[in-house]
Amino acid sequence: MIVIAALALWFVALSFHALLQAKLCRIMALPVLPHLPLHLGRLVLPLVALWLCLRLGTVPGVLTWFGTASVAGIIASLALTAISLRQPGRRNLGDRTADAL
Amino acid sequence: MRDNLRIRMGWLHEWVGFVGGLILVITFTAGSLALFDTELTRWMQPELSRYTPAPMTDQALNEVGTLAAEMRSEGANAFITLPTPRDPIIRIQHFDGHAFVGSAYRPDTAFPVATRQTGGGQLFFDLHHSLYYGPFWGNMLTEIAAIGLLVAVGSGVVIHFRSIFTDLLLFRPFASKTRAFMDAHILAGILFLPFMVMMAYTGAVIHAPRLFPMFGGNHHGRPGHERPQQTAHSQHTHTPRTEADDAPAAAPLAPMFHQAEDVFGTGTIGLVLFDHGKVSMTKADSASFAITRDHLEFSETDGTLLKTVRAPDTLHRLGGTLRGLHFIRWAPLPLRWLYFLSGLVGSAMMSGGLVLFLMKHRNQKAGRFDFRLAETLTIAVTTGLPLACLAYLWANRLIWSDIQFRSGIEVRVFFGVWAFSVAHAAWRSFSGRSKQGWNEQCFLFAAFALALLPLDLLTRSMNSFFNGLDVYKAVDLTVIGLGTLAFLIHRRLATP
Repeated sequence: MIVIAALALWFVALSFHALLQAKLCRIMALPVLPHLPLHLGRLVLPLVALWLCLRLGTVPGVLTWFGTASVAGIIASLALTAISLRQPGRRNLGDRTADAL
Repeated sequence: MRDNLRIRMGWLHEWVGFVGGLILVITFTAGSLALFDTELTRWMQPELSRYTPAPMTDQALNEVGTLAAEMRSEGANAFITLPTPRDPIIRIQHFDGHAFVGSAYRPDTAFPVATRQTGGGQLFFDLHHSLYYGPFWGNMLTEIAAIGLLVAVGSGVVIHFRSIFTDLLLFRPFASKTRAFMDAHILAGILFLPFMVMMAYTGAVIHAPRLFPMFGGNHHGRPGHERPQQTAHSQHTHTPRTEADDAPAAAPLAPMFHQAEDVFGTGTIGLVLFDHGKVSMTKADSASFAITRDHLEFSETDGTLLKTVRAPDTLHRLGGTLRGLHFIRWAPLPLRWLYFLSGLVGSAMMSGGLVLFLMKHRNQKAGRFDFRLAETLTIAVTTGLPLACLAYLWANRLIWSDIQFRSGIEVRVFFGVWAFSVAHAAWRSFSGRSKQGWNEQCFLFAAFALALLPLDLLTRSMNSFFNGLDVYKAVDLTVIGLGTLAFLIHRRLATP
């Protein structure tokens, strides 16, 4: 249960991190969102996840915290990619952005 | 200056990453499977599906001890593994040069369970740490590859340092193919960076004595003079057996076991080892975070306690901690799954790196022999290895359960299928149709993976089928998941 909760917290925190990046917002065609709640969420949620994970014990807790961060990152990335793929005309924008990098 | 550094690091990342990556994909794939080696061994002994776990009795332990002593008197270097939650059965095992094999006994009655002979999940463990190439050269190769991984990770971080946080979740499958592969490679590389660095570092340190034998005469934190290593080499050149070795154990094991539990704690003893007239009640690797192999030594003849052996100093405890981090035999199931997923993603990330290397050089070098060879090897490790792993599971269920040298035949099937995949990859690559090579191997993997569940149901007892999730269903469902993934990749590759 703790692992699932930590995964969910990391998922939201990393999604907030992504929403703070102008490039990702452009790809997903999202308007600029208010930064303060996103910054706060990005900062606080991983700490809550850490607090939860440490209830498993120090070493398992830290390893679980890192592990859930990695897996949640992949899930968040796939979710954001799915959102960006649903936007009309994203393919061209994606290619242009890719070329610009 | 900064761009110059990035270009140099790019060269380093590319070449160290490719050469090391060919080994590291094997190491990571096999290592991920080795995390569940005990569970895979149980899956590969379907006779155990009829067995319901029971607590170990003193009488059973004593009887198994007598059996082990008889085997040892016949020349086998046998030892006993005690029941654990992961493997709730007593086993008498010996090392066959690559894996620990032996017989299984019920922990309540010592009644033998007629299991088929198999190396089980230990093949993946051997493949992971020595590429099935022996404890010296094999370990050396994986050790060098681990250091290569650290170099590749360091150079990769330098290359992408400027955008490491801003592009943390960036993945653009709709961009060009090279860009999509690069995004996926960077995404997995950065997100799993702590795991990669930790595994590469601990793996390199665990086998460091292989690279620097001049700095110590022991390995795995075990002083060489206390217990000879059970390696392929030592099987043939072990020290001459003494009279005390050959005599069946006079003292029952149960009192020794209880005495050891009093010292180390209830449920902590996992191994009973025999050596030169002594019995060692050894702590299980799963008993604590640091693997220290603390044990109580008893006289084999009268059962008197000879000495208590603990990790002698901080250096050994530190070594035990690093091994604990790497092997995580102590960890609960969710954490082992996180390691498993991280290992698979690591393997996919490195496979992506190998493909990117080929993409980069294809335009200029597509017709050259060395490029075709690189492509063949890449196909062989990225899709050929999973295919061989799957063939190993299929062979386990299709080969007669009572045939002689059974575990050896299973291993031959594994390497045979892998060799077939190399030949197929070479044929496709040298004929200029490498994409088809990948595609066909993906399809084969998907087909056989999706058919593993029916095979499992047909070849084992169905008594416990409705008793919830067990190791059999977990293995079947995981393989089905991987098969579905392979099928999706096949569909993607088949799209013009």
